[in-house]
Amino acid sequence: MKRFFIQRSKREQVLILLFALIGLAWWGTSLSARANDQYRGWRAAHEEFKTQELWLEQREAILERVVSAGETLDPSRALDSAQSFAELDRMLSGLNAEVSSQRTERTQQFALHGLQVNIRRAPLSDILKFYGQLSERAPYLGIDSCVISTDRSSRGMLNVNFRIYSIEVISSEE
Amino acid sequence: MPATSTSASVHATTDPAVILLTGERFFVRRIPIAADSPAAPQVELALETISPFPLEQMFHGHVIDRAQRHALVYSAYRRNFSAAEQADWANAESVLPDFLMHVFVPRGSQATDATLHETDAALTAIAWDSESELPALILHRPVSNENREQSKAELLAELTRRTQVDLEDHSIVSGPITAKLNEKQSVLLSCEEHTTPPLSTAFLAHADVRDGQVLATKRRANRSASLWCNTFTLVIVALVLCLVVELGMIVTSKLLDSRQGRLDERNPEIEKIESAQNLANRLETLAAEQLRPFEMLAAINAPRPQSVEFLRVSTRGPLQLEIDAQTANANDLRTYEAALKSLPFIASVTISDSRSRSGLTTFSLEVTFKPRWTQTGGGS
Repeated sequence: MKRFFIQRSKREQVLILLFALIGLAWWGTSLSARANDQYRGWRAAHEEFKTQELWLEQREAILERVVSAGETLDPSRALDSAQSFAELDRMLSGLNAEVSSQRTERTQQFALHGLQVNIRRAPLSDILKFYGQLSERAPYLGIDSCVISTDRSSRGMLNVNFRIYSIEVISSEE
Repeated sequence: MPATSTSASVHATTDPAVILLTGERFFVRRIPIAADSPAAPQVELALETISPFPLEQMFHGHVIDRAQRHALVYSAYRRNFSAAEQADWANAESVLPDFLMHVFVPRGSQATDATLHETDAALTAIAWDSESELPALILHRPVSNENREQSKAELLAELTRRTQVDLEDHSIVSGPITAKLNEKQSVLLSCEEHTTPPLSTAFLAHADVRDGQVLATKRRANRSASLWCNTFTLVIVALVLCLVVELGMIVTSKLLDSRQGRLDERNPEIEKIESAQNLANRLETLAAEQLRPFEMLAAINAPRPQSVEFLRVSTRGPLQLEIDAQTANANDLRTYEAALKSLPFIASVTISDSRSRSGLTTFSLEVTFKPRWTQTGGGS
């Protein structure tokens, strides 16, 4: 290679070197960017692996915590998704309300169902009645969060949005 | 006079990068030098003294011995070399007298004190003594077939007379001296089986007979060529390195895909554990504290001044309420804040975003209840 270069004329040497340098700069830049991306990919994969390992290490402890936290629950009073939906529908009868189901978090022993209840233009007394019925089913049915606002168009009326949970105890036969 | 003779004929070609000049045109002497002073000025001074022509009319060079106590100096009258003969000198790596082969060929313990080198056109007699590894004297004679034996006898006689070296045993070398460059650009001089060690161009810098200016120009050109060549080599090495990294990245990319695949396989299991963790947290929170928005609202409604109206109430966690409210009496805002803070089950009260417009003040109220606040007088 060196002999080949030495045997070229000066003009050819300049051109060869120029093209080689351009090629090197082009390739080197692209390679450096890709190598950097790949390095970050490795780092991310490594971090994800470590996080997964941590979760797996904690697996038994977490499941024990779930069992322990649910020990006081009475399976006969717990509600599955359909039951909680029906129960809320019953409690909301007579109110201008809408119920929709949301995501469910589930383990082998328990499931936590999320439901959204939106009540429109209802007097405070009706809402308190619904709230009273809901409180009777605690902790199997309860409120995650709520937003109460006055209805601008109807004085004395309220709009209320509840995010409600229901706990389901999954029996071992299932 | 007995003599050892080597008679194998050698037909090695002379490399055009090394130009060998026949020795008969040179005036050769070995001179003593002071080891503690630079050799070049001493050599020039000696040449000016012993040379038959002014130094600027001469091509000259020298070789120093290992002890730096002697120098073999040689010079030749410039006009002895035609312009045609000098035409290629500028491009040559080295221009050397051919007898330097005898100077640089290693001499073993069995080496004779004199060597007679015969070619078709000339005889060269070289004598060594114990003072230096450099020859004590080198003599040349042009020769023809008719007077070869007589010239040989005269040359050896003169060598004996001038050096007092015992020529009882002398070796005879015949044939042309050739030169070539090896792959490291070092010069190799040879004749028959005698070959010098590789002589670098730097080592031969003073042995070269060309002018110092020509040599300096040549050295600059060499440096420039070397720089270009080294740059080219570096670029090629860098390109090869890029190739190696590229290949390495292909392999590592496959490994990364495989690892990512394994992580993706485990993701559903991890999501289940995360979900269980959330559920455990929720169940524990529910066991400890349940959200009671209307009880909280009733608790902060009790000290509410008549002018304060709640517009929107939202919960944030089981112990916090965020309220957007308005009042027609701005003074009631501070009164209400103070009243709330005085309640035993309230942890903190923050009023923010107060705005007054057309006599109506709107504000945001953030009320945080103490844990188990219902047991400390609230929520009744």
